[in-house]
Amino acid sequence: MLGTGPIPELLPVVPALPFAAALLVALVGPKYLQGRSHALSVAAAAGSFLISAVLFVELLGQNAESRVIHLTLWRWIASGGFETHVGFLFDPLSAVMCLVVTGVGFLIHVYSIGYMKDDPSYFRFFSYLSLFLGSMPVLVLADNFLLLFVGWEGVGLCSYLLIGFWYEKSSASAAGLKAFLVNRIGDAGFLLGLAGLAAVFGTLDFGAIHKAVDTNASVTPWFAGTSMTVRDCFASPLGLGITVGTAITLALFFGATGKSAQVPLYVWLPDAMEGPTPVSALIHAATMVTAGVYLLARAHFLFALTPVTLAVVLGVGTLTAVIAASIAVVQRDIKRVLAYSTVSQLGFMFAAAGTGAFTAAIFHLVTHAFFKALLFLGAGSVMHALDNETDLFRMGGLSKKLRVTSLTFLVGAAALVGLPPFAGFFSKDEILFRVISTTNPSAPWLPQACYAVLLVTSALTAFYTARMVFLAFYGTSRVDSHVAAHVHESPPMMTLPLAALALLAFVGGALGVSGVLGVRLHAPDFVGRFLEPVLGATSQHADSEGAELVSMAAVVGIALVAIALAYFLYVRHLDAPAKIADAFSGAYRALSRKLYVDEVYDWIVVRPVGWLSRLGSGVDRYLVDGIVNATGVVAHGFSWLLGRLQNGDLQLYGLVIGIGIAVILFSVLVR
Amino acid sequence: MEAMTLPDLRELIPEATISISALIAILVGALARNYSSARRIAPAVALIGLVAAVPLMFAVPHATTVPTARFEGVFVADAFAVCLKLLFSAVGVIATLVSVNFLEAERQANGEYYGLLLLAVVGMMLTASARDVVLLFLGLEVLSLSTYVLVGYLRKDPHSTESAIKYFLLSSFATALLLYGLSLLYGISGGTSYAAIRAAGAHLSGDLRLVAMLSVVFLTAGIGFKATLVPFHMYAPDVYQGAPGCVAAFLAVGPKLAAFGALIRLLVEAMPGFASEWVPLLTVVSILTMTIGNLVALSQSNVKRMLAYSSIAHAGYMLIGIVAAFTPGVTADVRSQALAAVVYYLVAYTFMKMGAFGILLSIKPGDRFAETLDDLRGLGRRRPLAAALLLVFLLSLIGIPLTAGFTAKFYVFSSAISAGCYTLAIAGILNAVVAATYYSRIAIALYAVEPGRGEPYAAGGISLKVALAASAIAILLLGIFPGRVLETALQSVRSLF
Repeated sequence: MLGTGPIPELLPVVPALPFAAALLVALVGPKYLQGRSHALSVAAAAGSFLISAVLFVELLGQNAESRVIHLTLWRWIASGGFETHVGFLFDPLSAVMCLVVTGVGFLIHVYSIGYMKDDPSYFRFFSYLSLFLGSMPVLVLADNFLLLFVGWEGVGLCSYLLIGFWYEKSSASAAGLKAFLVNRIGDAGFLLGLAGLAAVFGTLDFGAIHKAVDTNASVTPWFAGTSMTVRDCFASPLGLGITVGTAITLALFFGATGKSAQVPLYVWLPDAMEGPTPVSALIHAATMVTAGVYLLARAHFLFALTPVTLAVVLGVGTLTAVIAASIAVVQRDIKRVLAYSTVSQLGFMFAAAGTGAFTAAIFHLVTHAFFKALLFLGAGSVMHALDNETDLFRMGGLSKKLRVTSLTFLVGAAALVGLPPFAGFFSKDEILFRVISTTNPSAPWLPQACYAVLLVTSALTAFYTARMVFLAFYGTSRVDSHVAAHVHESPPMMTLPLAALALLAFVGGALGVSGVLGVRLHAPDFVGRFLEPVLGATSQHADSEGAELVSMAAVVGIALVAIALAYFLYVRHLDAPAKIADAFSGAYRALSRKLYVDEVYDWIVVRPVGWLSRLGSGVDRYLVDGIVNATGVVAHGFSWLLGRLQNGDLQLYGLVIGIGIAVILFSVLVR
Repeated sequence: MEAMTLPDLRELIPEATISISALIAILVGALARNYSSARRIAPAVALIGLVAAVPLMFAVPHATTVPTARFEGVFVADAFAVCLKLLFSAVGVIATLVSVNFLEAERQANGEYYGLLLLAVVGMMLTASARDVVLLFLGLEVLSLSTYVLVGYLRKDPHSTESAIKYFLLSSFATALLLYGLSLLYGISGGTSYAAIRAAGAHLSGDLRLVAMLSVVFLTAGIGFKATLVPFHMYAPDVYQGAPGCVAAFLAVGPKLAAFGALIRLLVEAMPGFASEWVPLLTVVSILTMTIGNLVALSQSNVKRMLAYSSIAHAGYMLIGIVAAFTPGVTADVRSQALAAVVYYLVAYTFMKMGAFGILLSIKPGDRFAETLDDLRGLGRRRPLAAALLLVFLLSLIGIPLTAGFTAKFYVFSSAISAGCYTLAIAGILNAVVAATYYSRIAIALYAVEPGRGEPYAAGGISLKVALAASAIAILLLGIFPGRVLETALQSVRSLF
């Protein structure tokens, strides 16, 4: 038992190290570090990861029930009856998140040394990256919603900065702006949810709220004025058939749809690929975009009370998964395929959360972090070799020249498709089975429908993944001749992280073998057990072993068929896809234009806002400015007049005092 | 009177320490064999005295036990007094640090400068502890006399001398008014202690009420002069502009803090029964002070002068909190919150105002220190750090969130709202908007693209840099973590009741 050592004090160091690195690199980077700017950032990332690992081991050394390291730093806000502290919480859930964030973060830092080499803003990149790696632990280690929101905004800022990293490219700065604005819309929902929580519970502390929910304690919501139990409060109607609890959790979920790119706010993520590829891997695949899933898992006790919200989460997750997967099928840009794939996989995680299977969602989050980071970095390695070419139809046959890249990419792809025994197989299978075996009182038909859709999505996933692999690495080379001449494997600085991630994507699934496979293979469901104290037990659904095996076989079988189809289309008959596209030109065009979502948003949101803003600017320019300028003129007039009085004449000053007193006396005495 | 015993003096030890270091500093100046040893030793002595006084303030168990007033109730070291004295020490430390380089550049480094500065701080401390109008008067006079000399310290500079004479004459006038007000109080109550005045104020009738009003008016004039309240403010811009830069930094803060500290204790302990006389008067004065200060600042192109008017306006904001606290009918809770807001404002004001004045001493285009907007133009390129620090001070003076200035304004305005003083709150907010325009003029000049004239060179030495950086850090810390200081302010204010 190490229990009472100086360990809790290590917690703030996890975010502090990268923050310090960010600051130092920003200050001394341009002058002194330049090409060596990565040293500080990489060291900080390694340090954060090591400390997370130490804390994790510390956690494992304790009983399952007491696996919590909590540190309150200082009181942050105290106003009226509302109090919030700055405090860090290291429980199994944040431990898993923290390990993934710092671990994958460290690998991607190392990769970036090679990838960003010779970029004129090398130091700026590492400064931003460290800023991100400091903000993300704040998000996952926060012990209350408000501090979580600070981290949430921090990573949002870094995302914006890094998407627009090459800001001289107008598409990059526009993409940054889009990400920022779309996320603000989600954040508005998040803030509303926080306000609701504060109004009901009078605190935003996870522990306090969890305890109040568990014990069904009596609370005095600000809006009600009388005290009532938590459940009664959550069930009290708010109008339109929505209860207080549903409204709060829906608002929180809306925040999550912004950050985690779900319908209807997913549109920013594909554009975010304008950023450097390591950023896409770290922020827009492995870590930041999963913050929404983490939020739901962190607040699972609230969502458990509101079946309506859970049904919405399940529906939205499923819808996102299928829409994004079908758009991914026709994308030509390798990074965009991966981006839509990320959106789709996040949809899987939300679907799991929507069934209450938060453990499954977090497990998929972890494996996804491994294999999607791997795929992005692999794509980056391909781009590195091909002079930043991203068009899949101008690649082909690269497996011969890019040995390590193609091999690791293949591992990542297999994990994404969900082939056994790769990581994605275990986590996705778990999610699918959770969806079919769940029951939702508010929408009994929903789980079955969602299962069917997710099954289709699995097929689409297998198809677009195989398409991407075949187009890039196999078949005949369609690379431009002058580029093809110097295609080369990336330096070890880039291939080593690829190998490490490939290993994780290969064996990562073993961490959470659950259900029938766990029983049959006698594999411990490590992740499930570890998360149990936070997220509740994963029921060992032994009675439905048969159903689960069938589901599993169906998923794998469908995936294999889809892969075969992709092989047929993209290796054997490369002219066939174009013919098919011609035959179904409407559908193809709709998909390749991303289902016109951007256009629709442009019409119903962007343009009306543009009109409004033009109207507002007119009002502002002529009416408001007119008034303001008038007051300015008047104020300056007075200023000048009063300034005349101040002429340095001593007698006058004395006189003003005298007159002042006389006036005051007169007004006081006459009253 | 019984013989004074040793424990009686314990609470005076901080003041005594600072006074003794003042004397040592003066002696150093007089006895030092050469110029360069005096310029090093005297400020060091001053700093040691000011810093050593801080732990000594806590040697007295004032916060836990009922404070015993010394010298027959004349002097008290309760939490409120200690809180203010801590701030005064900080003012002294910053003023000392800011002065070193300036005096060196002007070839004026003598011990008496620091001695006088310390004596001014002692005067401020006495006003914070005074529970008797005579000691109050004494404290204010010690402060005034020291500052007269400081303002005229550059004997060969006609501006400095002119300012000193102006300041001396007008201040004497104000002192006379204050003394008159105090004598009226003595006439009403037959005593000079706050307790006696309070007792007499509890049952005033007819003519006595009228006399009380008169005394309130004259006290307002006397204290208002130190606090630069309108219409007793007109000396301030002239004197600050003419005074040596480091003295202006002290003058814009020190006397104002002392005046507000004295006003709070006077209102709470001596004249709670006179609230109905004070409140309407101070309301009008507050609005006038904010408005005139800000309006005139708009058309200034001399930054020193602009800052002087801004300090007048800030006195108006602080007065809002005092009016809110003594508005008849407010609960004890609102009252202490409002007063705590004022104390918090004093803390915030100290750092941002001294910082802003201090920056001017670190920029020297040509042969004199920066004064005009033109001197600061394009500073962002040449002296990025100095410009960034000044930006922090300006943002705080404007009241941008995450700076001390915002939190201070926020607390003061919200206390006005909870006390029901809506007019004041609205006037304050409107004024804050107007004020933002002239502060941002400075900010814009800082980062203007076309360079101004002359090449500003680094005039700041290490001590000035330390003072400025510490002020900026204090402003940011206060803005981001306001809780601790506000809590302390609240406790200190509660010790008054």
